Amino acid sequence: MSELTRGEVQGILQDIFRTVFGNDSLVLTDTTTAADIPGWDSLQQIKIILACEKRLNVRLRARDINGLGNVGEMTSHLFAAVNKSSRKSDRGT
Amino acid sequence: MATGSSELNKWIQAALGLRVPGAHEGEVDPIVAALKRMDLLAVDGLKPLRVRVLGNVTTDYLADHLKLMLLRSGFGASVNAGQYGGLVRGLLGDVDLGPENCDACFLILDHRDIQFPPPIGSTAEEARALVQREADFWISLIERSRVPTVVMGFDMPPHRILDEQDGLAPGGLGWHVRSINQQLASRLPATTAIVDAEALQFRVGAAKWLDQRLYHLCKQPYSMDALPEIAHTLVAALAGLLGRARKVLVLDLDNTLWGGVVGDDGLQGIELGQETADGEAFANFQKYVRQLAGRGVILAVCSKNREEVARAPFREHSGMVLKEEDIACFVANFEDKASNLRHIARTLNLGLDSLVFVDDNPVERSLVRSELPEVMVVEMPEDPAHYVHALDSAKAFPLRALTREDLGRGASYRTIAALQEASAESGTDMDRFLSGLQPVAHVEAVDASTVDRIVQLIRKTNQFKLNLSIFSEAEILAGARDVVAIRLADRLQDYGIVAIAVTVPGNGILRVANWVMSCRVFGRRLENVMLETLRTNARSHGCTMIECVHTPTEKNVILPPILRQLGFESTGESAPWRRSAEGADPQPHYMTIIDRRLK
Repeated sequence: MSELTRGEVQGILQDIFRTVFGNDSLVLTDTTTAADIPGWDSLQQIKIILACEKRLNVRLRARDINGLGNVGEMTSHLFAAVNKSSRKSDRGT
Repeated sequence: MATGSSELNKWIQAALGLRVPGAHEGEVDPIVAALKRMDLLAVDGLKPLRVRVLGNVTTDYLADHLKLMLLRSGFGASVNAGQYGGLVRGLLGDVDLGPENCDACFLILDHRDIQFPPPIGSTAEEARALVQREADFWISLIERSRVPTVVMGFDMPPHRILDEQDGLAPGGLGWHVRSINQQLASRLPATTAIVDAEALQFRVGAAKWLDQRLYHLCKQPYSMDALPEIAHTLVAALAGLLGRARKVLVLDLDNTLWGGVVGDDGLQGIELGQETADGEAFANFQKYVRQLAGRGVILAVCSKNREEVARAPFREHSGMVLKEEDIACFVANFEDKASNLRHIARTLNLGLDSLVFVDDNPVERSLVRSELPEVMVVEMPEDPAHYVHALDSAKAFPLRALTREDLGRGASYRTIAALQEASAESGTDMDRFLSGLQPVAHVEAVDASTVDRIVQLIRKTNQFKLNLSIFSEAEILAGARDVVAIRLADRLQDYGIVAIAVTVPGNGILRVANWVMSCRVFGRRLENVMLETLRTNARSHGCTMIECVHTPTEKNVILPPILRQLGFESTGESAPWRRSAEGADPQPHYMTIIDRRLK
């Protein structure tokens, strides 16, 4: 996968939020939390992270997924994982 | 409201348009997410169904996929997932699994729920005793459900402490799991169906089945990717249980049963048989189809060909596994396939929702999908090597238990088709045709040997059915003296028990609480035999009147004219249909009647 910016990762996260909550005008910021979006519970959160993992072709650790409190943290963890995996694939080539 | 319903419609269409098998997760996920938010219980054209899911694992994600798969089977369902860990507690009474609360339920068993695992070093005898104990425990729990129930049997544990012995020898946990599943399959009551979880694991693939990380996160052991297949399998079993199993496999010919086009390539030009890889694949597919026919799936042909050209391979090609006599209804012409499928359904006296359509041509499939959404269209791969897999994994013909009726079904539908053709040809003498079949009606004893079939037939019948009331085995046995069960046999075959009336005599009236007749014997005048038997019973109870409790449904529209013909009259829509137990005899039926009831 070519390098993604942190903003692009958050864009993908936003896409998935929109699908899961059926709201095409949903806008995420780093400080968005479960309190801001009705229906965002722990099961939905896991579903969202898993969908992101698949889209970005990365895998987080269970303890990282559990600890994610807001959109900023979700984005950062996913972004870090993307970078790590693309560095790995750079080394591979 | 208007935008709301168009939104709903859009997602329902998207769900019905999914090609299963073959849909990608990317297509499924948004539909699952959208349907989750929508109320499908009151959608026109869908059968409302309130469903509970109970498991000790988290079943919330599974419930969302069940809602989608139920929709694809014609149900507008609400799916209520129980609490994590709520299986045993729920069955013991936290959740009332009765018809007041739900119409059906799914029980998800998991190897982690095993109560009596064999300790390492158990003797074979000890291991068998533990299986017995385990099975007794679960069966007594599952029997508490009072609605149609699909049980997902125990899955195989992912790790095998006793290595290769674990699943094969008494004392292994895998062996314990396999043995319990077999016990459940043979001992659960007729209102339940069991899904073989090990086979499901095998289809999904071990790597995709278990997601240990997800289990630690939220107590769902299955990976998200496994959910569509699990839901598909569970819903197929429920559809079978609720009498919605499909019955007919409609096959295209060119490039479906053989390679090439017989009209262009000629009889010897088609590819079929052991000489080539494709030829072998087509023969293999035919073999699978023939085995399906052997267990009760009715076969029909729908081909764009001249009829004699289409029939030639069946008669003359040495590589053909299927024979003309395997096909109950053979249609080869140049009409469009949607019209021909309607014709096949009419000829076999079945609804379009009984048909499964298999055609290599994506244009034909897409035409049938849009013209006849009731027909299940199997997404066929391009390579015939994968035909068997595609049809098998569509799970179109769920089977709870193989019955004698299943084994004879093909022959009885060939008779139906012959009957239809005879009545369509002017100048055919119907009376002579019917009596030439030498039919015998056996009025059967209602006891332990027949009660399963009686309960099943009442539940599964849709068309010739007075009303929606169903009965448990216990209810049938308790009123056995006043239940009439008729088995039909003729010189061609034995159809098994095909007509039932449940009656309650009292106050001079023989009330018929329900009366069903299998569509396989429509047109055989068996209803006349039933009326004759009911009249005799009524008189023996001192009743002068027979009364039918009829509730019109979408599917039993054929009844009023038949009742009228039998001499019943009704004073209004919801009024019962009555006729005297005396009076003139009904029309002739040409049947010998043998009473097998205990006197």
